[in-house]
Amino acid sequence: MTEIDLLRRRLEREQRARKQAESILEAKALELYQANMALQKLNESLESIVTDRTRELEQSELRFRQIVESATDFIYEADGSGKITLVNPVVLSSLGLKSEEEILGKRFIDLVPDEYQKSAMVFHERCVASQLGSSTNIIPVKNEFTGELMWVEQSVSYFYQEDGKLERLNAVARDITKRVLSEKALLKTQLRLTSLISNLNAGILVEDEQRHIVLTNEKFTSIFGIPLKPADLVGYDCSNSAEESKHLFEDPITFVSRIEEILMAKQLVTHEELRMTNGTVLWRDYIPIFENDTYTGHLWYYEDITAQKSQELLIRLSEEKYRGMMEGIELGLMEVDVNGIIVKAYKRFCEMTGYQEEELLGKKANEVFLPEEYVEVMKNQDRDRLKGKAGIYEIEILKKGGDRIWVIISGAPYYDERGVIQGSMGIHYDITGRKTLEKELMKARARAEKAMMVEKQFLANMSHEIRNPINAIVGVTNLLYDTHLDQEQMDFVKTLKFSTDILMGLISGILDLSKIESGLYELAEQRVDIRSLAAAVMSTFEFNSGNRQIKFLTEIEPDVPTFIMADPTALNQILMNLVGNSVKFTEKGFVVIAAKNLALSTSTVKIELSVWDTGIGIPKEKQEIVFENFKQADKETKLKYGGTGLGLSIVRQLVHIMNGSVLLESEDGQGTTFKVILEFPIGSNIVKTEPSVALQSGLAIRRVLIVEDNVMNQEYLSALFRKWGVLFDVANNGEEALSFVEKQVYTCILMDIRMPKMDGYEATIRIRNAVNNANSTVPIIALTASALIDERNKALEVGMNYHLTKPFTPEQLFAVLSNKLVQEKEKRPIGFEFSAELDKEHLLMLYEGDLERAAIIFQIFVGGIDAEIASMKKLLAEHAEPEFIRKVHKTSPNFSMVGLTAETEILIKIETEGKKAGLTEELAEQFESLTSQVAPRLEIVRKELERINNYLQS
Amino acid sequence: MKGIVFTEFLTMVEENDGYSMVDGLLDCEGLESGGIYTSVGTYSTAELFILLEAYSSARREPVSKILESFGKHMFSVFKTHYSQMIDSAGDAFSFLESIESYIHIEVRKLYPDAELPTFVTRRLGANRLEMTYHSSRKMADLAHGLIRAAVDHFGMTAHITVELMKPDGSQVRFLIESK
Repeated sequence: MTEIDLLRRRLEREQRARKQAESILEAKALELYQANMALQKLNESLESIVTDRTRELEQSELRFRQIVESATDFIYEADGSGKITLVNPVVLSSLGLKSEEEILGKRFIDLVPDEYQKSAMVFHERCVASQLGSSTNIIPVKNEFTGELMWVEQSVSYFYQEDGKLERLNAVARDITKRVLSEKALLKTQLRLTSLISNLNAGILVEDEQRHIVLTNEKFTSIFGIPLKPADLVGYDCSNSAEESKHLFEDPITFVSRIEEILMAKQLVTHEELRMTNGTVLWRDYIPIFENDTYTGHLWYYEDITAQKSQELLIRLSEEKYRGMMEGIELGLMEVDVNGIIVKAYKRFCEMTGYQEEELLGKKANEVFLPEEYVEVMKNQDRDRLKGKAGIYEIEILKKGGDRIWVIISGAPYYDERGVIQGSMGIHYDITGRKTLEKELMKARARAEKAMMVEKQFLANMSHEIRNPINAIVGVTNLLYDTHLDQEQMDFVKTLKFSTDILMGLISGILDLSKIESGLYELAEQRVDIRSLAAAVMSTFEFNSGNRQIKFLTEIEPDVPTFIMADPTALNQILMNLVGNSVKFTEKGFVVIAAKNLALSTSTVKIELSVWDTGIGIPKEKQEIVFENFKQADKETKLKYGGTGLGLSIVRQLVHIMNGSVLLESEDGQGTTFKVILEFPIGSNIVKTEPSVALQSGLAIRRVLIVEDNVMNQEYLSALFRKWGVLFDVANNGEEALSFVEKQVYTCILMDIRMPKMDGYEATIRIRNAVNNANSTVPIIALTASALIDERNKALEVGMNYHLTKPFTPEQLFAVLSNKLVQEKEKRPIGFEFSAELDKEHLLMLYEGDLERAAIIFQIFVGGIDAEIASMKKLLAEHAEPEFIRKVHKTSPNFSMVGLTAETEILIKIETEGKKAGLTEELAEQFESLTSQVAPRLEIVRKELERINNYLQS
Repeated sequence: MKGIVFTEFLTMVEENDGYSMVDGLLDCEGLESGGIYTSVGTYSTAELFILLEAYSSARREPVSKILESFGKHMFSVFKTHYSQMIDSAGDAFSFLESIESYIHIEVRKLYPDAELPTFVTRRLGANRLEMTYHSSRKMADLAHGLIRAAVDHFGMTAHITVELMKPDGSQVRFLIESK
């Protein structure tokens, strides 16, 4: 590359650049020329434009001033601090001001009522802070003169200084008080209407002309099953809603087409019935909404009339039913006037009676139709009618020709328009057929009742007829036992006894069962103390369980009420049979009656009575059958344990008629539990003096002593007392009887005459002569083996009160025991309080209800005790040991009878230890210390006797 | 891109390296104008970059360095033609602030089609000025040279910190701190 080349290229480039620049400049020059031309033109027109514009401006300013001056809107200007610098006249007049001076210089905010000032200030400051050019707000101002509020809507323009501070503002405000107030009122009305519509019990749907929802309510959404809130539906396009909800209606096609038709017509539609598939019936109204003849939407109104519809249907059905009845039933109508003259007889009535209407009009109804025996009935009815009372009665009336028909008459007075009775109208219904039927039924019932009576009679007879001979057999068998029999004869008698016992049990069982099954067993309802009842049942068995080691217990839970209302006989029989069953199958262990409270209300109690034992148990497969008649677990059982197989069956039947249930829990070898669940009314808790615990038999007998050497008779009597629920002891001879009499207090004593060791006569004499013994006056019934007058007289002579000739039936024994003289004296609360220095409880137990006896016993004690003590002292001094101990033995009960229990115990100790180990020094000392200290104790007894006597005299 | 940028660029190249360097650059391929430039014309910016790249590789100097020098050169040109515009500002910061508010406005009056960057200035104190460059041409280095030359012109000793605000160079922050 040479320097020349380089320069040549440079020159060439510069030439080309120059040309380029020249052409650019040429173009620019042209542009400039044209611009210059345009500028010249512009200059020329500018002058005229300025003239025009100036004129326009002047006019505009003039117009503006006129507007400001005459404006009905408020126009004001304020400086940066809000002070008003300019107002137009309307501001003054509207605010009740007289001159501009009153407002110029004030701040606008001063015109605003206090309660709105704060929000107005905040608004203003915010506008200024954001350097807004203008703002619009609504604000109230006060009329200074009237104090009234005026609402203005103002547009404010802000003008700022360069540093952003407000320089001035001007505002145009308009009085919109009327608008604000009417808007407020409108809002209130709207709220009221909206809440009205939302709560309306009809579905409301308001749509605009585009079919967008404007308003709807809960009921609407619920009818159409729309899962949205009414408010959420606003704006929803309904143009497809008919399609969407048509499946809800029975006739979807018509539903859709009808809506289209209605929308097309834009005519009011009311009460169109729609049936929905879910059974709802709706009334639909369509109300088009027009504003100045322009359609702006419509309102749908859906009312659920399902209930009315079904009501209508019911009424229609009922109407049809009654119309049918009226047409079907043949009722004869007749009208009479106040004098009983027939004024109208309807067709059916004429048919019923066989008359023509003409034959009846004008006649007295009672004379034509009334048989003599109903005159009285009709007189009463006529009297009621005149009093305005209606009545229904049944009488016979006479047909034409004299035949009678039975009619039921509904008679009612009828009135004229002033309310005066004009006569009465009778509706007659022929009930001859029914009356005939009634008569037939009555006859049939009488026949049936008679038949039942016959059966009852038969059962009663059976009981008597069968039981009497068996009792005779039992009795004679018992007597036979008393004769001198050899071993073979003895075995025969035993077999005979065994068979008759079974026969007896069987007959009673069958009779009980047949009574229950024929419904003749009538349950009584008496007050029963379930604890006493259970105790009585238990003690009945206790004395008779032989040498088996069975403990008899009752476990009645404390929350079981004391008294329930029940049939004592049935309840007793249930427990007897269950316990009897347990005893039969239990060799040793326990038999327990338990009761617990399952449910207690104020008036009733549900009790679970159970009887359980530790016996052989019942195998599972046999448990089903034990309640069936004559069924025992198996044949072996029958052979080994005996029994009739009726006991549990009777239990089940009794429980059944008492509306209870019985169940059985048992395992082979594990004992058995029977549970009886019964509901009873609760008995009142008012303590009445119960004459006896033997409620079930009605015998007022607490405890009986059987003195009898014949084992069979013992068993016979035991069985009876057990059945009657009476406690008893068995003494084998007179001697044993005396020791029982010392230990127990009896209501009566059954005394056999001929016995080994000590016979009945001697035993009676000893009992009667016993000093201070509660039993010394007890009724004693002689059981004589023959009807010999001799024996009987002798029995009465020695002090027995009654006699029974063997063999005697249970009824004969019952009759004697029922004798009032035998029964316990009715106990009454004695109301006397024994001294606490004596054994108060013991005394109360001894003399409960019989203070006279207490008086006698105390008298005897006080009269003889000093001598007794002296006699004992003497024997001790003489060292007559056996005599002394015998004397102590005789005397100790006397102390017990007056409540000197401590002394009694010392004497008994001296007696028992003395008998065993002889009279020791120690015992003698004890006796001496007793006698030395006894005087004040005896004084207490004397005073007590005095108190008793005083009490009895008052 | 106004033609004056091209002519002044080439003037600077010639002053530094002689016309043979200019001749070499103008022979580069891709120059639409064919290497003919007049100060009153208007040319594609891409051509300037072709020239810059070529000059950069010939001088073994980065483009940024060249642009910065070019900025200084341009300031001296402006100073010759528009000294009263520059000097009326009085001091360096006032001048830099007046670029956007005054100079560019005047430039637009003369050259309505001129493509100018935008500067946003912010005083951060008596001795600190923040000047942010915005331009799709991404020629902040040119601006850097101009700023440096302007500061020197007013006799101010200053430290200039350059900070890239966008990675493509379309936004760059200059922090000018006088000492």
